[in-house]
Amino acid sequence: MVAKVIVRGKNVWKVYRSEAGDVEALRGIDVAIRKGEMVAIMGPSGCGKTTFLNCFSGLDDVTKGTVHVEGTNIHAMNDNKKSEYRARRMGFVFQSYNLLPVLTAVENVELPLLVSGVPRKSARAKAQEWLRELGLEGKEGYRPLALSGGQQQRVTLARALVSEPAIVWADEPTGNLDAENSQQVMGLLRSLNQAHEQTFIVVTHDAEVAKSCDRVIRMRDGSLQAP
Amino acid sequence: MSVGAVRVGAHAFRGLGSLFSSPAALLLLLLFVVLGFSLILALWDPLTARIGFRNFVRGRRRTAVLLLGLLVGTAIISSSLVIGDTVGSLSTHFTYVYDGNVHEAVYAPGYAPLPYSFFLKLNDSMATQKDVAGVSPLILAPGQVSGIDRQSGVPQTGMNLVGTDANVSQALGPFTSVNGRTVPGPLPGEVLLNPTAAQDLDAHVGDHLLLTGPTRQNETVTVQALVVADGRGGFQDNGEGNIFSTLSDAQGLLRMPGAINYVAVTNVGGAEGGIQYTSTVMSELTSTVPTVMSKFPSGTLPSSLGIHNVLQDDVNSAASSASSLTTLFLVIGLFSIVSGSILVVGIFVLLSEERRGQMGVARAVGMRRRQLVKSYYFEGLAYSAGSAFLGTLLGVGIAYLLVDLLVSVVDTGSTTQAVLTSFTVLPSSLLIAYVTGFLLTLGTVVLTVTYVSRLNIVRAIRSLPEPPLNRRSYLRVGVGGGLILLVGLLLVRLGLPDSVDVGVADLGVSLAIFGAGLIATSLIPNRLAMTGMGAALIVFWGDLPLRNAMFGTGHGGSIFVFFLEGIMLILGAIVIYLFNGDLVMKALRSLLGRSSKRVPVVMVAFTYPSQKPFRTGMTLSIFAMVLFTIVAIASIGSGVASNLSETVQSASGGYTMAGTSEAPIPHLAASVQNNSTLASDFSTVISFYSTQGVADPVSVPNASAFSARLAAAPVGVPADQNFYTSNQYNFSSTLNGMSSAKVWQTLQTQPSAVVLSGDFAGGSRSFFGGSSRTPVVPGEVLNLTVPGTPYSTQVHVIGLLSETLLSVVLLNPGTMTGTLHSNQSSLFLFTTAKGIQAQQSIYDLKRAYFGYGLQLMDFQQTLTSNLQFLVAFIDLLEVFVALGLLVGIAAIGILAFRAIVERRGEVGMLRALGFRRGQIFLAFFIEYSFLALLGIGIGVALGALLAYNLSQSAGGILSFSVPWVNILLIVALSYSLTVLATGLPSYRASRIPPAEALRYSE
Repeated sequence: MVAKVIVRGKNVWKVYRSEAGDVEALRGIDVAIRKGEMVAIMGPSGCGKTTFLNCFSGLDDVTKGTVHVEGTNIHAMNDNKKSEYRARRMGFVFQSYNLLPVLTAVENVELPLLVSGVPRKSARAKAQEWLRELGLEGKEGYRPLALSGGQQQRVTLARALVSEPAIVWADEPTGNLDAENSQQVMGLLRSLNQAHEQTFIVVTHDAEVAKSCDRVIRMRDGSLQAP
Repeated sequence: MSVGAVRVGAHAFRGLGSLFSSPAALLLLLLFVVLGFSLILALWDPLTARIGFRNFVRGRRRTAVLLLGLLVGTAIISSSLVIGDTVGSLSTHFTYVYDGNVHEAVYAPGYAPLPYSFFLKLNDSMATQKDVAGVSPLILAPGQVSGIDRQSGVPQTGMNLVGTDANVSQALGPFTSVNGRTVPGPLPGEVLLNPTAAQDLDAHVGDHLLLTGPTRQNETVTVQALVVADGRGGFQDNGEGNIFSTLSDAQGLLRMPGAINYVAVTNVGGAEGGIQYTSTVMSELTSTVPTVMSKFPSGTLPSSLGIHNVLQDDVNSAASSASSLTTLFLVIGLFSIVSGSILVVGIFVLLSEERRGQMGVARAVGMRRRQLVKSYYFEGLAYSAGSAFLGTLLGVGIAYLLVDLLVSVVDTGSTTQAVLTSFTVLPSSLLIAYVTGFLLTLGTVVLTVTYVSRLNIVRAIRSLPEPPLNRRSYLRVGVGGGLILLVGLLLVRLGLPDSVDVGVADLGVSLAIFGAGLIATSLIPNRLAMTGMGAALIVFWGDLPLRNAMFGTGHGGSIFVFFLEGIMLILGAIVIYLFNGDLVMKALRSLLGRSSKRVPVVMVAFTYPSQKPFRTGMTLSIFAMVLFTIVAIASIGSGVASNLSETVQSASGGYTMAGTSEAPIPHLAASVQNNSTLASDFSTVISFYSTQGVADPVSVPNASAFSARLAAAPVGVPADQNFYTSNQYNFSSTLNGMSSAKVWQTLQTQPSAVVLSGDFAGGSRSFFGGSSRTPVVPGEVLNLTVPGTPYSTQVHVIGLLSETLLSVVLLNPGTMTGTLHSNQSSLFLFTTAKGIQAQQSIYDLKRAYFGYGLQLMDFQQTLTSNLQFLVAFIDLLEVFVALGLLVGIAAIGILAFRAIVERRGEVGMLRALGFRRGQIFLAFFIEYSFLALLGIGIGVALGALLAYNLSQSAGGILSFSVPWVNILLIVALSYSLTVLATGLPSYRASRIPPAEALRYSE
């Protein structure tokens, strides 16, 4: 059985306007990503990979075109609805982890649950469970900067997955890691994808990372390249 | 009076010569040294200078905001100095009026008579002295003449009589009439009145006055002219009013034929210009006067003659009072200056954190740590120069507004004009303010960046936790603590004698506590050690009985103790918070985060303050210091005002008014009873046996003797007229804690007992420091003498009254009449009958007894007027310290602005996690509201504590009264301004699109 399309973009354009002139970061992208798929968005620097992630996840507006996530036009939502949707249905992993330095590992992980209105006790229990699952037992009370890069990225993963989102967006998740840690993180993403049937959209320029994914979408100058 | 309508007078910006007065010259030299050093440094290493200066001009808006934050300290210094300049100029103006053209004077104690020939001989001897313009013979009878205007019928007592002859006093200058004409004279049988005397007598030109001298000699004179109170007409007038007559008329009225009592010497060069010759003329007089005296047979001159350096002494005294006011404003402003310095530290720490990328690149391409510091030095140099310049100018504006405000609450009319035309800005003050502000800012910048650069840069810029101290580090901290403890104990030892400012000992104890805290960190957990240290500081400074027990209540302290007390209390509170803030946060998080919707917002809002102790401590200190000063000063004002009825009660002893007469009035009570007008006015009239005496504190080594009115109330009078049993005076202290009734009983029965009024108890730990006179305490032995008589007696003090208006030594009645042979009455207390206004009865009494020179003081009016001025002045101080609020608001605004820039990436992440815009705004709003309210709370609580302590040590003149409504308004204002200052950056942070915000951390 073919899985349902979870993310569909039609003729998506993103133009940055500046004094130096307009920059077309996305040029009429048409794409469909199915539920449970693990997709790599690949391309050279400046080709629009991160803009793709931002526009398709609703972090940024599009200039033209529509993006439907789980059948809903995400850009038709107001800012509060979009925030609420992200909190419940999306997870994010970034290259530089973006953990809040003043919160402990467990506090960082439980934050999306608290934002979604999950009671504190359940949120804490779930966050601890995810940290355990990602091999960070005993590190719950550590602040991010006291952890290694690999450990921080695993906390980020736990934070992205704790609310059991439908889609996880990962922007260069291994960009700051060495080969061994990169391999570990990608292995983890793959196993989580398989275990939970969540959709993973991974932006990367690393061919090794792309190899772990089901499908690779290549970009150049803001457009998709034919496979 | 509007500010705009006021013109800055000719005195403004005068005194270019003062630019090179010693402190200004030293600072100027220092400025040149710093600038020279900076120039050499810039030439030696132009790259770092370029980086520093380019950083300064990088963003106009940011530069403007930082300059505003940095200029506050300089503005406070500048305004304090300019206020001092203005008061100095004003006091000097009044001094020149008061002393006129009299630079030096020769007279005997008590203005004892001198033969006219003494003047003639001295004049002859000084004739060859080229620095002397003239020598003038005068008769001065200050406060000794009563008068009644025959036309208006208005009596006045206690006026000044000045006998002068125009033909031999030309050096003193001419009189000027109120119409601006030169007035010859005074003429025989006529007098000149200055405005005060004319107003008091309701006299006009041509009126006939009946004048009465201290010996009840009468004389009728005509008002020749009304003269202005310039250096001639205002001569020696301390507010009582001057009557100028010929020497001959004055000799008649004072019964001193052929005599004078004052020889005035005028130097060449006019009043101000002649001061430079004072030392030459004084030395000439010092050799000439004894020679002249030797020409007179023994007994024809008083035994001693004083040669007085009149004008220069008074000008110096004016400068000293101005300097005291500058000091007062500076000390009060110190809290704002320190807050401003903390803000400077904060700004540069934030700048260095913000530029971690730039610093990293610079280090990566080979720049040394020292060069980084230098680049900050040059940037700091530009900021310091700019902010000091702007701060100095702003300070002048603040001073002008404050002076204008002071004038508008105190007076209208001539004094206003005098004050405003005296608004003075000395170039030396501008220079001192500029250089001090510049060096203060630059010094703080250098210390801050040196400290920042010494940290492990990676750890510092990434906010990595400091590694825990190892054993060796703890040992070092312990040794450092031990040294501080020793220094503290040494200071305690040095500060223990009563002659030393108690602040020395207090500082010693504080250092000892600090040192002990550091030692404790190597033995017990830091939280425990530091909490103990903070608590000890608060207990020591907050618990007045403890400090009194350690140093004694009589141990005086300067106003700097006020500053020290504030700083130490705040330090203690902040240290306690910093080492326990996480517990507070945890409690707040669980309290406010009960609703699951609020949890993430509360979590984010309350975590930053506890995880960023440096910034939190900085913000809290600034707010706490400003609010502390405002609350303390507002409470002092309120305490003084609300204590008015108690003050009137305790200062009046239950009586309505006090009277003193030049000539003794026999049987006044009976005389009043027999007077049909007065009989119904008074319910009580008490006549004291009284005389002027000298008290020598024989039991206190090196204490000086002092003049005092000696008095004793009669016994054996009806109960309601018995002073000992009916007065309601309170005691500030008594021998062995005796009750008031016991003290009064002892005074009646024990011949050697005395009670002194409160003004002799100077030296208590009052707000404005102690009195210059050695304080008298119960148990002390005094030797009392009556000058001009062989009578003396030794007495011991059994009590000190709270009241300070009578200025009297109360003796046993038997001792007064039997031992000192003083049984005449010139001191009286009155109680008006029910429904009788004090003002009316004063008028009636003056009329009835003006021949005796009866002067009256209405307690209620005197105290109210004194206190109103004091309260107005305290209100002014409140406005001045409220300027510090600007520092607090600027601090939190700048911190919010920079922190939000720094946390943009985190804002993006929170938005990605699902935080709404409103939640982002709310998180920042709660965070800054918490910091502001906590700082405000600490300041208000500690300010109220200080006010309480002051009320306990002020000897009953100050009650504990915090003006909560005003304080709430100030808190609301501070908080509202904080919300405004932090609201905008918080709002902007919440509006950043998440994708854009995330880019800052990529």
